[in-house]
Amino acid sequence: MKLQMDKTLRFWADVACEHIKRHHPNLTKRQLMTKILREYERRGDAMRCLNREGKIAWKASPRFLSMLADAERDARDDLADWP
Amino acid sequence: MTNLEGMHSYFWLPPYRLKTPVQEDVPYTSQALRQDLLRVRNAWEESQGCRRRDGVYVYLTAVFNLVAWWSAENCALERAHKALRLRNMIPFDDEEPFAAIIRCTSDPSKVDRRTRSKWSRALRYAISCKPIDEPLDQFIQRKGGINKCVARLTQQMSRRSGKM
Repeated sequence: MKLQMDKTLRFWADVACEHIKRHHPNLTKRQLMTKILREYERRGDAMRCLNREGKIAWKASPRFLSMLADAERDARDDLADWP
Repeated sequence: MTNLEGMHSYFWLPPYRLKTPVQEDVPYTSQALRQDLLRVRNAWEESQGCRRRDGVYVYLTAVFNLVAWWSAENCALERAHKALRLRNMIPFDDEEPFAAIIRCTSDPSKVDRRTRSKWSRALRYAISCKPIDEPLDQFIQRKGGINKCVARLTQQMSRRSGKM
């Protein structure tokens, strides 16, 4: 069964997958995603919930969304300060 | 569009952080359970800081959503009791999941046994009747409020026991 994720978490999980796959050449995408979700969940960045079909899905936690918003704001500010 | 260049690598997980065993499914670890409890506890704090009368729904929704997905995996009772033990609390006999999570995430000086029982029964009614896409607060208010939901659960249970 496919690992269901919301849009934000899917985006960052895909980025993480691209980033780590060369370090784990023997793992399938599913196995990589499992590692990534486990780590996101462990540190409180992803959480499970029920989706509209009543199936288990993952979504970005409020903490992760807040940290992303801060990081995006900092990145924009840094870009604006660039001469 | 997200500018990845400017973002810290925290978000895309450097490979050295991923030393976990290879698995096909994501196990629900004690650390993940602790994070879930922390989020429910944060919802409690938020609801206490909220001056609106319906502020309690922020908290009840967090409790409901957690127990709902545990129930979907048929693990609600076992995980709720594990949650109590992680907080160094001993599960009561027949303590059902909603009551257990309320006990270990709310302030006992503000939520007494009676309130805990009332909230947990309202949530039990919601989990048996609420359409999945309807927000909990709307559902409970549509059904006449928390006390009415408790009464409806009692009716539902007496109908069921009458049939047996």
